[in-house]
Amino acid sequence: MILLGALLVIFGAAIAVLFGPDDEVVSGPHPLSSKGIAIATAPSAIGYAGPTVQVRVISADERRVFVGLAHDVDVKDYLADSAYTRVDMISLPWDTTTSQVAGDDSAARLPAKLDWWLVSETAVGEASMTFTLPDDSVDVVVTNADLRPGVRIEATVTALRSGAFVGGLGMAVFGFGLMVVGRVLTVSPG
Amino acid sequence: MRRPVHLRVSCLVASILLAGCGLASSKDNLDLSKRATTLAAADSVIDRYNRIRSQADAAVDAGLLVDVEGGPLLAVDRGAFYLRQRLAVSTKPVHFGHTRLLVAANFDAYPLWFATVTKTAGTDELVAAVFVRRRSTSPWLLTEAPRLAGSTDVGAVAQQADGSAVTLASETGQWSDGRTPARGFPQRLVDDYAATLTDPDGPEAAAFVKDSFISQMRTLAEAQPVENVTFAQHWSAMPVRHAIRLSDGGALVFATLERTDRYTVKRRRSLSFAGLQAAAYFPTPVTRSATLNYRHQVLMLVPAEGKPLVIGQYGGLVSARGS
Repeated sequence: MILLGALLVIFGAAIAVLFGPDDEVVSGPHPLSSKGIAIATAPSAIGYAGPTVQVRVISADERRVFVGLAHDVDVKDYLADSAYTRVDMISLPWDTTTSQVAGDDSAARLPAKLDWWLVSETAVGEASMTFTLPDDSVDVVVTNADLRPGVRIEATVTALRSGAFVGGLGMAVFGFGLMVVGRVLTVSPG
Repeated sequence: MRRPVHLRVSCLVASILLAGCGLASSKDNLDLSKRATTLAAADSVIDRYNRIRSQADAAVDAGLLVDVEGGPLLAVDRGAFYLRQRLAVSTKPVHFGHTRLLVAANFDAYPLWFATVTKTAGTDELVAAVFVRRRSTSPWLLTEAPRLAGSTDVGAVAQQADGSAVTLASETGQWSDGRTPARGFPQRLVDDYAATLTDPDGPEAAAFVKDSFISQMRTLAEAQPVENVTFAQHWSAMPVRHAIRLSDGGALVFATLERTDRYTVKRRRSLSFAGLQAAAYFPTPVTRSATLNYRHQVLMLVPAEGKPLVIGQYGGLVSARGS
């Protein structure tokens, strides 16, 4: 019981420190670029479901930028035959494995004109979207809004968890209580 | 003896706390497939179809149909619009209600398709509509739309554990749950049905219920002129693209049948199509021959036990040539 209490103290404190009073874990900004028409994550790069995440991208060229989340089946078809940079793996706190997908720069329809984005935003200079990571295989796609080749951005990923800070503190306090009770039971006769 | 109790309680509390954190769950078995559509999205597709179709009906402009229709259905409706323009006939505008039954499978790649059964406004009919999206950048197009009697029960559609419908993948010939259909299904079945329409007394006829479509087409064929004219009718089946498995082991098959009516006129005689749809193509009597091409989209019910029958159809004259 003392050991479990200690683990809860460590885990709870870690959550409280990680999320902080804002209940956010921020990673970034991280520079990403592509000579093709898009930067897109592979399904394996988003291997988790559940958390609410905000993705904010800033165009290094002050261009009108598009960011969207969609099912991999849609994205795969949309970017078929196009040259783009695929983010194959994301390791936290932040390390990415990318690969260049060969293709031409022939523009498909502009991304903002399509109806299958689960969430998306187009804006000048900076665009962001907030979503709960679904169970489905989804990809994040960033393009210049006009699909012009050459995408240079800085991406910031924020995990949002309402009540994480208070919950973490509570867990630590509860763990501490367990340690105390365990200590009392250990020294009690019988 | 108290320690195991404490341990169990502690583990329980810790489990509840960790679960309560609600942190990320790992996608260990990443399913890359996608459901073709949702109920709301299907209704949105129908709304778009209705909107553009009503514009096309109002303007009698078949050119607008290419934005919402494809495949053999487009040929049928283009043919209908041509008749309306040439013969100045008015028809009821087409308007579909919202989805009553949605059949949507999971797909690993485009093209996607789904079927919906819905009511047609101003009639007692239902329509079994198949919408296809060939690419992510292309619109949903209505490609098959056989009409059913309002009282038709198409049966319960077979579903996989995730709720997706079991449909036939035309590329692989397999059901979407991995099962293999009976050999030659569904193309051979539809080919045999077409052969039955060509020759009602042929060897294939015994395999089918003599349904209302067969009766109707036979009546039409028998009503053709025989005096001074040789009439021949031939049916063939186009490749079957869409089939749905039913929970009882039966199936629904969407098929398009090509019908060719050929008239050969005896020398020094003529054949008039006045008062008929073919008059749109032959405003004056033909003196040699005429060939009329029809497309009929049918929905065939293949029971788990018993003979198949057509339970819905939609079609018409799509082209003609002659002199």
